[in-house]
Amino acid sequence: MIRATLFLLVFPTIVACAPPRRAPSRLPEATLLASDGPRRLAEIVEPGHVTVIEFFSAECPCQTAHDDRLRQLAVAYRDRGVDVVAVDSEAGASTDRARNEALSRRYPFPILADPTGALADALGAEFATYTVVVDRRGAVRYRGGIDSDRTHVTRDASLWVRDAVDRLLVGADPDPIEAEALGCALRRR
Amino acid sequence: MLASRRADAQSCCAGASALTPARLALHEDALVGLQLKASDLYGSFDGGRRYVAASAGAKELDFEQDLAGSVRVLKRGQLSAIVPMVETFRSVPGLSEAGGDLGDLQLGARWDFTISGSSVIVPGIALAAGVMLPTGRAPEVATKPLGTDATGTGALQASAALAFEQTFGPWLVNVTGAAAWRAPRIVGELHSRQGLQFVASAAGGYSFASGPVLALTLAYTAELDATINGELIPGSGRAATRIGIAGGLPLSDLWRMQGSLATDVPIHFLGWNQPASAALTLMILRSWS
Repeated sequence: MIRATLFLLVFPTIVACAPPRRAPSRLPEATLLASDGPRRLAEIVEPGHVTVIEFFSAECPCQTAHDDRLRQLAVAYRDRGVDVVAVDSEAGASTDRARNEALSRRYPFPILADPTGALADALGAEFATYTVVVDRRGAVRYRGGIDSDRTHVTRDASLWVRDAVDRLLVGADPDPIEAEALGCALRRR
Repeated sequence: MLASRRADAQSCCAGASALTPARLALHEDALVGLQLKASDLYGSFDGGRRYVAASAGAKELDFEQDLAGSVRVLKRGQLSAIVPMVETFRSVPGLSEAGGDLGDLQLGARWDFTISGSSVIVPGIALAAGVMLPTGRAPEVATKPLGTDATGTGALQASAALAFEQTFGPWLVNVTGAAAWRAPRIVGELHSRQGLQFVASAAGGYSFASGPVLALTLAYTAELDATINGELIPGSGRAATRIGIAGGLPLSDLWRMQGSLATDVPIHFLGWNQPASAALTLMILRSWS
């Protein structure tokens, strides 16, 4: 009885204190669905390019609040060897939904479907707008929120992803290398 | 056809927290808030569950200002405290008075086992516990003729609640069950104790794309018979049915407002040994992430 009580008291604490899942330094093997068929992540992340992978949620207002910032990022860095892709890992993800969302939001980058959520699991994505920045050699160098804003985009926000990209382009290490993603919980099965 | 541009407020936002004062939203680490409450007592339910309107010339208005604060502990837990200041205005034909002071301090803890909206199958499940300390002035200690300087229940109260919450696109559904235990207290030579209290509540809300959330709330409270000197007093239990609307308005990522309008349902059988009132609350909160 005492042991059972101790377990009930201690177990949630252990679970809560467990470190959050961290993205590996190398990208995992994963296959995503694009409008032209399945694509391996290794094909999407082009060697010599910096790649921004953002976990997308169609229904999250935090996502919508960041649409402009994502569009600007993609356009501003397109000619500097930076690729942006969004990944829909939520329940019901499909190429149709991904294509429609990308069109309606005027994203100049694709949304890829991850219907099993395998990539989200592998990279530790639990919340919408969680973003991973991959360097030219395919190593994950930043993981976390796009910036310090949630649903109200402000001028004085810390632009974590943009700063990470800037630093990688000049050969410096991102700082910070990790930050909290402030979006909605990704809706999984 | 293009997908809708609609972005429904989910758990990153303050939608769910609008139902519970001082509840931290996802990603919030702390908050402080000031809640203003005003209520009008317009009638009562008698021992036969009949609703009776307040008699002509009798009036009671209650006001409350609550200072509330919450902090996150570990990843899924939060602790909260509410310090209320209570004022009562009461009048009967030929006499009216007002009084007030510090009310009963409320301390609470909440643990979210799962987060609403994170699974299409498993809802958000949370366990909450609370303690209300008798820091207010008990009715038997009040000195004013109409007792308006009574600001507390006079008894320690402990409660536990289990809440289930789920989002369906812009819709939010919350179902909560709670039980409260009141410590015995001594009034003169009497050793009295209120019965166990049970509360079942449900809320359905809609989150607008621009951020505000609006919810309908329904709560049924039932209280078992009280005891005096260990003897059960038949027919001394209480019951109330309360409906309301609650809303939240995010002003920025750091500031938000919440409000509610709730009333007992003045229909026979929906209340028992209980005053009937309508209450308006307004709260402004500042959070830290």
